[in-house]
Amino acid sequence: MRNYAARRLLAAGPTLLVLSFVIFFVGALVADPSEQLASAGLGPGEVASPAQIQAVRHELGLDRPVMIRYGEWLVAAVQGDLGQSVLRQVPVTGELVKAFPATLRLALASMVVIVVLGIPMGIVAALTHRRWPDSVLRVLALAGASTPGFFLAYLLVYVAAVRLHLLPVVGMAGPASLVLPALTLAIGPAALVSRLLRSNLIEVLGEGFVGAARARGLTTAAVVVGHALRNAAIPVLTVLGGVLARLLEGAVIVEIVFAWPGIGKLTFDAVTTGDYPLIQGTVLFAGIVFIAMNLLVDLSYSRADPRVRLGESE
Amino acid sequence: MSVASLIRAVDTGTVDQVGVGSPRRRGAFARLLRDRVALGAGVFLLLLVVLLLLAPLIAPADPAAVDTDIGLAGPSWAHPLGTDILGRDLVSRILYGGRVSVLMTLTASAGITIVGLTMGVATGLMGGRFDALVMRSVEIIQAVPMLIIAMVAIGLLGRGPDKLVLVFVAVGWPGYTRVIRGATLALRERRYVEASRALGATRFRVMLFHLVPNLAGPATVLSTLDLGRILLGLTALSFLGFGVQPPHPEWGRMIADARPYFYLAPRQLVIPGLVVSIFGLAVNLFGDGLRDALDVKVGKP
Repeated sequence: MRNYAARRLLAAGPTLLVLSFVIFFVGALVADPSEQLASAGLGPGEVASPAQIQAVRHELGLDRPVMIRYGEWLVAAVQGDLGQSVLRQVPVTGELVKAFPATLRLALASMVVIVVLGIPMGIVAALTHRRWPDSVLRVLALAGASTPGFFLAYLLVYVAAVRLHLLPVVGMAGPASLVLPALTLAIGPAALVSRLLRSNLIEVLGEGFVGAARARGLTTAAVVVGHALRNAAIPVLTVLGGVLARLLEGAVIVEIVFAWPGIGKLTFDAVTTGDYPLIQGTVLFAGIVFIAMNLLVDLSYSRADPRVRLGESE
Repeated sequence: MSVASLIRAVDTGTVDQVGVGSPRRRGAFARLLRDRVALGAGVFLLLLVVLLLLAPLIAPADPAAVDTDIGLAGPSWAHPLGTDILGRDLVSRILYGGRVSVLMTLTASAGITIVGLTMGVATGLMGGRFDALVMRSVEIIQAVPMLIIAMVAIGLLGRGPDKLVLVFVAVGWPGYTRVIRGATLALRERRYVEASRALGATRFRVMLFHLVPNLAGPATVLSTLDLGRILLGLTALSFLGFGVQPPHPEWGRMIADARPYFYLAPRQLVIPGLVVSIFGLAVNLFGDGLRDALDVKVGKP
């Protein structure tokens, strides 16, 4: 087990390194803040002269070779220093740290909704295989997957906040404000989880050990919970891990619609203002989260199903 | 099961496996015609595309004609679904906007399929350093959410529908390459490939006459099932303001534009939203039926 974990960890390193290089290189290639900064000190309407821009470039060290700058940036990045945001004039890391709790809260709330909606739906669909509840759930799942998040968000706002006056519409104020964004984010993945669990469960329920458990006189509930679910849930775990990774990277659309001050909104703001150090920070953050979550999923997967570990030959 | 894998493709963009059995291509069309749901979805899509193509003939008004006197008007004979804040006809804007949204989706899908298929076959056949290099890029691209890369790239390239499609192709091919590479690796070991090589066929000939025809089924299903996801992604980016610029209509853009007066006239937001959702649903149902008819297993968990 420890060997397997070490191997997976080693494999993640190069990916992260290449990603960091691409992020830095693209930034060095296209984003040069010196003109912006040189002009910022001048009065309105004035434009910085080439000499002034060159002076700023030199001051920032942007006239040195890219590889050297990448090395310095990487050393600083490993120590948690991702540079300064151009427009906000504050450390990028600080902005990420400030935005993360909001995203984390939203992600965890969404995960709860996904599990609470998706797992019972999957079990019911599997147990009513080819009867009407299964068909209804199938249509619901497809509709959920076909609705764009930005539209779903407004539909929920319209019903819950405008028509029924149940919940606050935007902003982060107390647990009630969490409901609509979390629901918007959860519906698609919940549909996915329910369908995946359904198909796995149908397969597992047809296997010999389930028949044996039934023959011993166990009730359906005991068979499902005690025997079938455990086996059917393993692939669902992978999907849930992927979903959580995507949620932790920041849900751009939902955070914008609901004015949620998380990573997704930070990323959007960085892109629309062309704040490249901040963009670098958010993209690198997304990559790290994704790679770390994949690693965690793989490890928990191999814990739940030892065949994965033994079958691994790479 | 079919729907689960479909949703998996929609949500996470990971269609990892493709089963290349002996495709029962014969009678595939007849099977598709027997599948009522898929047939209905297909007919609906065809009808919608015809409507979009005929937009200049059937649109009740010029989609850009501004008349602020009738801003946010309700349905009338002149404006069957009412007007937006500038008095522009909603039906006409949906028809003209749909031309842009659907054309962008189809172009992006064609681009992704061509690049993904080529890269998948090439890596599967050639292996070695080229394979390692391409698969490493696939890993990197897939490590960052598509929406974020697309946003950053458009921030650098500038906005516009053509750039949006270009960026989508650039970030969309890795998933396809994974699937097609896996399928190619499986096909490579087949007897008929071996026989063909033994008869002196070049690698290129094997690719053209043996691999590509056998991969056509999975590739078609893959891109059809993915159309919904592409449409949703493109409209999302347009919604964020990265695509079509005003005054031209586009479905995602229309939803964004209707936001400020959502409480006054929810219709302006809900109708384009429903159109996108129904279009996505129809594409997914059709893709599901196509998969069953061609009997390929894409992304079966």
